[in-house]
Amino acid sequence: MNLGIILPLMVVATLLGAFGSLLLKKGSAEFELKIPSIIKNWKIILGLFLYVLASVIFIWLLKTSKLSFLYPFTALSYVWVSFLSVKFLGENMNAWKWLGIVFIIAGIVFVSI
Amino acid sequence: MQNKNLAIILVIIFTIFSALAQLLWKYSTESLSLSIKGTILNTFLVLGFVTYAIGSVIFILALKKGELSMVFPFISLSFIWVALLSIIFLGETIAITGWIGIILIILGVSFVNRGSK
Repeated sequence: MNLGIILPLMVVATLLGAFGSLLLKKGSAEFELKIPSIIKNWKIILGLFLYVLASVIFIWLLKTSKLSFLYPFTALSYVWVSFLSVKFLGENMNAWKWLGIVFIIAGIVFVSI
Repeated sequence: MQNKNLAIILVIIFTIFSALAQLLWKYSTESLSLSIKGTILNTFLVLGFVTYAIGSVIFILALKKGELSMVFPFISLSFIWVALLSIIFLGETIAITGWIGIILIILGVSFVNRGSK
């Protein structure tokens, strides 16, 4: 399977995971450790579903590529989450946080190779 | 305790659960013998999901207490636990590049923490 399919799919998978995290954050405000409450928390349910979907795509892609090659792309999640947090949660990014993201991405690449 | 510090503790606990789940799933892909393969595969697989489910609840609790852009980068710490667990339980070794990566991740997480309220 060529890169023209694998890379976009990794972008899709990481975006799904990032949106899933965003939904989990939104749903966490109303989250209670009671089953009836959790079932009605559509943000949590959808967020978890997006996570599962992202994982399924990743596991499927593992049939085509080595883990050491695919894993670094999961680091894209950290970039997406940073942007989504600013846009949808009113959070702030700054130099320290971006520097941290860069180091984390570099670290993930080193750990994976 | 401040919400931020509680969020950090909770997400770190999540990363440990996440690493444990991955270890259990790794075990589930190996079999001791063909005759009991099905049972072993199944137990470790289920245990892995249970562990990850518990971890997910802890992660959501962390999100209750802290900002997403602060909490999420901490997830990268699971790489470190996975490396340590692989050494202890799977007899794997970590190359120098792996250790460099771990240091970079730790630094990165500390920078994010520094930049967060």
